[in-house]
Amino acid sequence: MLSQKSNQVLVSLYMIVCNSLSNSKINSLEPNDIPQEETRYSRIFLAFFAVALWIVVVPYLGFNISMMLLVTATMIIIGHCRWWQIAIMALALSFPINHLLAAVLKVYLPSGSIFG
Amino acid sequence: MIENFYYAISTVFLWQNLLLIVVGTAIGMVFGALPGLTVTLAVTLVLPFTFDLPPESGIILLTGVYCAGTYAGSISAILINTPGTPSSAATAWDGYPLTKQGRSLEALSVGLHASVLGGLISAVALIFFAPMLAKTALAFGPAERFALTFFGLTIIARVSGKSLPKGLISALFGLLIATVGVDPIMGVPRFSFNTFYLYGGVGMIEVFIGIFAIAEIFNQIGKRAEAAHHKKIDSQAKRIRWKDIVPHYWTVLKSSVIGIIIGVVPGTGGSIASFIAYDEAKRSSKEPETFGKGSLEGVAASESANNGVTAATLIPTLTLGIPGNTVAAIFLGALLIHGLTPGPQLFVNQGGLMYTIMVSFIMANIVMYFQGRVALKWFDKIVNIPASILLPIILTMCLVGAYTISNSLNGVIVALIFGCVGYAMIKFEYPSAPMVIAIILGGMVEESMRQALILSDGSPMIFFTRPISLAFFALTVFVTFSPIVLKLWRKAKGNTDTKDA
Repeated sequence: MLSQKSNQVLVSLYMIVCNSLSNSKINSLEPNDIPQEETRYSRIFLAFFAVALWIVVVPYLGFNISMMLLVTATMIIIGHCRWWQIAIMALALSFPINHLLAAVLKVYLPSGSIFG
Repeated sequence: MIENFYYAISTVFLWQNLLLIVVGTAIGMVFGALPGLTVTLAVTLVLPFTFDLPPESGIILLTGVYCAGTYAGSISAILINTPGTPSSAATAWDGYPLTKQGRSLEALSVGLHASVLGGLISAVALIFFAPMLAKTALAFGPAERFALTFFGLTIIARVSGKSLPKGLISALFGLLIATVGVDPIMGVPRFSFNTFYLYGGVGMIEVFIGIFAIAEIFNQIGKRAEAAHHKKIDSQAKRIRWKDIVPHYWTVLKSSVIGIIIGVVPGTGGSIASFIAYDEAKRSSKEPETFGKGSLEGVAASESANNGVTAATLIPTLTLGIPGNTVAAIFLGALLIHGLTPGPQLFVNQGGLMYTIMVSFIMANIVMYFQGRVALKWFDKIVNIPASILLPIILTMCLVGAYTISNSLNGVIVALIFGCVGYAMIKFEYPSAPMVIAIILGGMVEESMRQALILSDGSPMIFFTRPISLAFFALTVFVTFSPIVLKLWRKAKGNTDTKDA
């Protein structure tokens, strides 16, 4: 029963995506369109993968370490930054945020089973 | 009344209480501006600090947090396309396009002034019309609430942009998301996939973080690096001035009144008020085509309505003991903790305290204005930070915000999934506004409709035999069909004129 329903959901989603794709093709054929900016899907996929990986590793590495890695990865993916900028940002967005939220706002971010 | 009013002024203007307002508004502004940290959370965290204070001072502190927190949701909505509170979602529709055009300070300025005016008008309504408006609140049962929220759903047609079918698909998807979680009447889990987290439904803030912020981050990352930042503007060349709001005074007044009327009805809140006010502003605007593309009028309408709700929500809370929303419920709790029982007798027995609350609302909005003036110039500099620095900061805020809502990584997963959905919507030009409206109003529509049908033993006639409900349905029909009728009438008139010529 459940698999039948999930199949229906998948088919519906597939049809929506197909419809959207076909619409976008029709739109791209219009002659007076302003040329769209080039989109680098590989970058988007990498960014998505980095966030997904962050969700997986954060229970093990804790917020501080995992956020440092995520910020580093994101800045490398975006590009146009120097190594010292990456280092400063990675440090600034991990330890201080964790301590600020815990000390001032009493909001506790996840601590890891390996690094604490 | 006069002696209570004098007592209120003398209490609010004590330096200790003024300091509490300043501290409260500052806390509210920080919580409201950070996505994921809600005004409810701010009021809840501040509540324990009020236990040792006199009742007046405690309520004054909470008022400051509430007013500023409600306003500050617009800051992140305008600057980084992430509404700090659900009621700021409509602000993001026009605020963020303005930021993209390099007019962020203008948008922030209009947002601040509209919020302050909305808050002040709401506070005046609380002072003069509280008992009268409380009677209106009592007239709202499930049938009326359904008619009101259903009317709210008709806005979808106006915010669908170029393609109505795409808008409807987006809205239907939103309604589907709104059904996730335990059934509000029968208690049966729906689309929860046996996940405990989904029993409570998909979190609104997590969805907004995904749809608005993470989707925009993906969008910016996907573009070429040189294009992946906003227009740089000389922020110092512009100032926050009252002049920006002058052309929109009528919109602000109208939206504030909408906010007050909706705020008085328990169980509705700022989101529906801002949507209805936005829709009304668009309908009556001379430039409706600019809405959704960067209209200052849209920002003014949304912000004045959601701040118009603030004091109005307390009207049923103070006069009837019925909290209008979560924050009002916390206010109710604070009053009870201090040994005060809300209800009509509170005005008789504790008139001084009641007027202190009302005056503190006015004072909180004034303090918020001056704090906002100082803070906004700094907030505005955010848009001039290079994308390689700004995007990781926003991403961190999003992930932290999505985590803190439920204190679990499930919120982050939901935000990431909706980030992908939001990015697909940007790429295929599906408007996100109908989906947001449907997610916010879907639950309310369903719950109130089913409650009404239980009361009427399943007869839908309950919606048409009660005057307020019938009036809202008539308004829904009018708003939906009047543009079509008008269009046909103009067309017919045009044809007649051509024939005559």
